Amino acid sequence: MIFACLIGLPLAVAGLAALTPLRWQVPLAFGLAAGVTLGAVAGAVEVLGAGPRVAPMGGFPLPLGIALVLDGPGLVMILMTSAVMAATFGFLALQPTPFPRAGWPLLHLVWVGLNTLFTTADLFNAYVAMEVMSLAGIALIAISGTAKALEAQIRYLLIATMGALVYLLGTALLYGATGRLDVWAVAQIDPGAPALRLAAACITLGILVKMAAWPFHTWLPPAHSGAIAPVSALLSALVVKAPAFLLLRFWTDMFAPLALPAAGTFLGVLGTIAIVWGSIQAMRQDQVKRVIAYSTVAQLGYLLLVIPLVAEGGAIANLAWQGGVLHAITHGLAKAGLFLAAGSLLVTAGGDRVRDLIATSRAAPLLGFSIGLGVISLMGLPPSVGFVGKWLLLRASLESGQWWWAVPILGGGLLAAAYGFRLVAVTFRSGTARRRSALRAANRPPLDGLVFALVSLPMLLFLAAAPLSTLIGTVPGYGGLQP
Amino acid sequence: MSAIDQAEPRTSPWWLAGFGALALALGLVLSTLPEAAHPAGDAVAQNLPATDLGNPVTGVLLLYRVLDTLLEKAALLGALGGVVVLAGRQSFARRAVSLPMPAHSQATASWLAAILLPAVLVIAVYLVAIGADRPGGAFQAGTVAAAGLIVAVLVGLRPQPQPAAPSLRVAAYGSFLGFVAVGLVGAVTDGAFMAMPSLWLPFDLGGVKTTIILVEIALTLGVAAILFALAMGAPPRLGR
Amino acid sequence: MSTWLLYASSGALLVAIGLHGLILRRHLIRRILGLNVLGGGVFAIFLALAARGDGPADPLPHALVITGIVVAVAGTALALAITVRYFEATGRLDIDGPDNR
Repeated sequence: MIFACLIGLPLAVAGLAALTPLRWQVPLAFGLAAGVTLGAVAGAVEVLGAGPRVAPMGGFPLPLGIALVLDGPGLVMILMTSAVMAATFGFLALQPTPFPRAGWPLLHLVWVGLNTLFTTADLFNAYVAMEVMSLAGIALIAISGTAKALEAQIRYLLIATMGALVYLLGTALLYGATGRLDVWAVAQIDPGAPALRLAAACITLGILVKMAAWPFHTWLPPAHSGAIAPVSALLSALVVKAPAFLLLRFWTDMFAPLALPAAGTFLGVLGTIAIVWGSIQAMRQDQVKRVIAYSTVAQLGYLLLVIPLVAEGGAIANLAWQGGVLHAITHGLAKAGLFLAAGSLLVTAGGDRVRDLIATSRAAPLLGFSIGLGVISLMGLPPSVGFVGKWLLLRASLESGQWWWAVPILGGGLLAAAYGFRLVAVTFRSGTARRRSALRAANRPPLDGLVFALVSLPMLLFLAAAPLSTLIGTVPGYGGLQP
Repeated sequence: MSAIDQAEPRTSPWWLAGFGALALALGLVLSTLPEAAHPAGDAVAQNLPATDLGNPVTGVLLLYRVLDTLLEKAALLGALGGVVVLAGRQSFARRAVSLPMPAHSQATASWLAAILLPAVLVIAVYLVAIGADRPGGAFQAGTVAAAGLIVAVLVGLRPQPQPAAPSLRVAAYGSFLGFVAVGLVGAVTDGAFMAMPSLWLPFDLGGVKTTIILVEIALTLGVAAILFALAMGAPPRLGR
Repeated sequence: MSTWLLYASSGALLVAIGLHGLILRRHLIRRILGLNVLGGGVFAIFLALAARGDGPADPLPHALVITGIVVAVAGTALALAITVRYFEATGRLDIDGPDNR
């Protein structure tokens, strides 16, 4: 029943949204958000009480059917997704520019793909879910209607589909070796088998392309900055995060025997380069949305850093796994908040460059403050739950003896401060008196409270860090579940 | 030189060697795979007789891995949504996209199409009717039906539809909703999402098989509508 | 050499050809074709794997390939629709222009 809420409900609402008039769209969307959240909470209660479990779809046992898992990390990601989606729906309901009717079912289809990716334990099912998410997400970029968006869209589509097919090639190799498609079958393969190594390489490469890891990140900034703000929020907070989460699960579960020393270190180095390169590019950008988009390139690097740490196993793996998931949800909430806040401020200011933000905080102090809170989360400072995530990663790195990862973990926070506070500072600059009065007079949608609520969530979760860690659980990957 | 037939850069021999090496490496790794390994396929063979289905591929697509099939329809609808967004909300000229041909050829083509299209329809119905027991099924039937509709537009028997036309939308999303509803009913009656329930019906072809055939008929309509709309694409904008 | 391996190796060759078209060609239609050749190669490998051993073919990869083809159709259709709009807006059919860093 829980999966009927998590996957069936967004599917049904996508269909209903396409067949109903525009005035039904907002109630349908909020109904969906409530339904998915209820389902995820029910799932979390079950997991905390009875522990995680494998959920065979349609009741068909492996290897016959598709297995999904009901576990803490997946539910935490789904709850984060619900918060981001609800904020996006609210933004679309309140913003003055009309959102096309055809866009609503696409939002719900993105959600279908996300929830499936967060729970699936089937390699082929993950491929289909990734494509649902990508195609619907890419389709949403066109709503902005500019030629630049079209170019970003086709580039994103070509590269994302290539990534998916390379991933599928890896799946074919694993199927050839085991004749099964669930993640647990991989354990039957001899770790030295060339097919396993090539399959791991293909699956990893495909997902790296889809999550925009350095050096495959070039498609991300134009795509995420070319869409309208609420779509950017979804793409940046969620659509690149779900494949990254899947990669983390795969490397801490089915590919774990291959991870150390070379492969894990290699992925960690890619993550480090992404953090440094993405942050430097974020500092150099002129357009606000490109600053935030490059920040996504940098922040996703942390999820790659987690892989060599989790590969250590034991208590260190627990620390790194919990740190990685906490970082993922913090980034999701903060990044969506930043895109919505910046989008809202830029509507007021009428421009898309960093200098267009001058003095906007005078007109909308709560939005300026929200950007500040978002940056604090990205930096991993208290009182954001991102601090707990970074702290756990740091402990894992020092306790494992792989102390060198502490450098990017700490340095990335400083780099985030550099590009983040540049935005905050600009909004608080005084500007000319004429500009201030023009900004005050500008007709602004009542979005401040909504955006503020979203970026405050990591601060509230800081208070709930202990139960959150219990829910995420201590065994990385698929939680040590067996079908 | 127009953008359409622009020259391509020559591929350097290094790239060619690289792609050759890639194919070779992939082939070599494939040769290390065991000569037979299909426990999942064997499980299908063991479980299929209980369902009365004759076509194991249909068993996988609409029973054991039906979630993949549902998500695959969601992928099609994602692409359709993208085409609708690209088409924009502005009205567009119902410009015929029929093939350019002289008048007498046009007459012959539409005469031939008018004769052949009913046959295409029969083939589509046949493909979905036998799908449960022999090779065929919803996607194949829907593809054939969509091809017939596309031919009808190309020879000028039908105007080009809008991708968001109500009839196409109802067929595409209505069949999809029906499919989702069956999966949700399964969650209630059988306790597992996407368990294909044995529906209570005045007629019965044997439990779950009836459900599967009904779903396949709905999906054929949906696939035909979606593929037709996708092939017609976003019509040209006015004023360009 | 087994027959299935011949088919699988042809699939491997198609994968390489498709990647070549996708990565090195500039014309968008050629790139989209490359994507489809790549997909065809992966599907051919799946089908070859299904034909291993004695007895009837493994039905599972056949079902996966049908699903894969539908997903590929969806991607191709969206790619072509965007390409048409992009051509209308810019008069270009490549995305390797000077301002695409």
